[in-house]
Amino acid sequence: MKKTAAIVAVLIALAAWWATTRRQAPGVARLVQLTPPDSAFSARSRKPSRAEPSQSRAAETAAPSEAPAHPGAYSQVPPSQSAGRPIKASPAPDAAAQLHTLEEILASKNDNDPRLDSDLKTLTPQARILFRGKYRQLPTERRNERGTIVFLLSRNPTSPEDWAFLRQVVGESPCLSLDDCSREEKSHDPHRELGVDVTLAYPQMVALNQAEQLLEKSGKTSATGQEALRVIQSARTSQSPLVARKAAELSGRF
Amino acid sequence: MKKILAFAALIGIAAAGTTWNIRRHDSPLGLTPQEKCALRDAPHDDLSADFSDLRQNMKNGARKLTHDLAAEKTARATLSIQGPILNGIFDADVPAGIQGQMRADMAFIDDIQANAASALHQKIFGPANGRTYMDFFTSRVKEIGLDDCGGGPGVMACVQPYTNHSKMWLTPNFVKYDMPQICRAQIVFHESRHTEKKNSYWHHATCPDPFKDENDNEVRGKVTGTPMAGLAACDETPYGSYGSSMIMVKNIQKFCTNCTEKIKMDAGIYADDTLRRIIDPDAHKEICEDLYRDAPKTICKELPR
Repeated sequence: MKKTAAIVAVLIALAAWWATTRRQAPGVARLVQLTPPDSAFSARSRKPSRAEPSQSRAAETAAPSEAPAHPGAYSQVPPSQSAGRPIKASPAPDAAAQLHTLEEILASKNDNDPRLDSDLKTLTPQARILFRGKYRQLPTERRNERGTIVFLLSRNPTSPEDWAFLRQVVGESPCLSLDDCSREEKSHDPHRELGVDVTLAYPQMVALNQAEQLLEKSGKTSATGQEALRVIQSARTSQSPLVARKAAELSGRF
Repeated sequence: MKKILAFAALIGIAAAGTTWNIRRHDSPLGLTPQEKCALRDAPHDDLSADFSDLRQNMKNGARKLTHDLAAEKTARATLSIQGPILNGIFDADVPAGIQGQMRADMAFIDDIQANAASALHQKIFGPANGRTYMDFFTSRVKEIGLDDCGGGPGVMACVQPYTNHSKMWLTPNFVKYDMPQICRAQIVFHESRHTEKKNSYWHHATCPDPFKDENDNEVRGKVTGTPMAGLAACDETPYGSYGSSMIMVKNIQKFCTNCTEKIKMDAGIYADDTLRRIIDPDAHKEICEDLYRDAPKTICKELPR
């Protein structure tokens, strides 16, 4: 009898202990955890979020070099950036939110939207991938929209993919007219076409302008400066006289 | 026996009470039950998710406020003729989209604040602020209509001074083309200068032939390089349409205190390009000394005489 009672008491104590620790793990254990785990990538699946469908479409149009290594892992941060930080398997809500903000601003045509300098000041690595995808999705005639994306991505380029993107932008074929980039239209009155030249080359001019700013800030011997010089060198062979001339001027200065 | 059972019951009660307490206070952040469930369901190895939800809520609040403010500004500008921007100056046949875009652009101009203005800017406009710019524009442009302005792939606006010198015409390209906002602003202020009858509408000068810039490159229009030599597409004074509009946007680049970095970048890009059209060496030098003293010498080389 005594033995039975003792066994029952132990079982009750064990059950109580088990129930306590089970409820504790999701909340307290993680919140008191001071450092994130060392794993660079987790392939754990999540419930799909509201933002994911648009990101799926963006991922589908991403350049082949940015195609996901694993199905569903299209927000994977390149290994060079991921050391010591936990990475979610599904797109970060911040990236989706930043893309949504960008799309709102582009639709409004308000270049003075303060979110350009707040919400979109620092882009997450996932957002950068989405923005590059957005750039490729946009028709080439959307000069300001494309240039805005170039501006945002070139404000503080960090990864090799960022710099490769800028070199790609400055090397693009020139847009021949605002109506249709593939077709030149004869100029009727250059007097009244103020700003057309620059607008046709706007994404490229933005990339060069930002490269110039980065060189002035970082110096040409820094890693950033060297990459900026590579962007400028890539622009020197542009088929756009305006872009090539600007690149030549910058090459001469730096 | 009774003692053992009592002891076990005490352990059980203590455990249950602890569990209840932890559930109530398991987050120092004061999370709602829904947020706790979200934490419980989140991947266990992802600590950032715990805090990102809360941060996200805060950001969403701030974002909504910023969005609402921006939306309010746009809405104010795109209201019908009852709105405060360019009230009652549009012809009835100007499409709503063009009216809306023009009002939105002028709302941006109206809001500009700056902490300085260059000497040339003071002479042409006065202080660099939205009130100055709106007074400048509305004192010159009394009506806005719809016209193709002679056609042409890049034409956005014009003034036909011998028909109605205080009327500006906008083309469908004004909303069709995707141009930076500061470029549209520069265009309409350029055109507004052409309304000044007392200054002979600030007619343009003929670009020289050959037409070379300060770096001895031939100046060409369009991306394929249509030469501008011999065309009425230059100015010999800082005060003409090209000069005044580029002085305006260059001042925005240098001195605007509530413009985004993009606006200021664009203002610089478009102003620097327009400088090529100032062909008189003295006028060119005057602008350079006014606005480009701290700029690289390659931008403001002296023009040959």
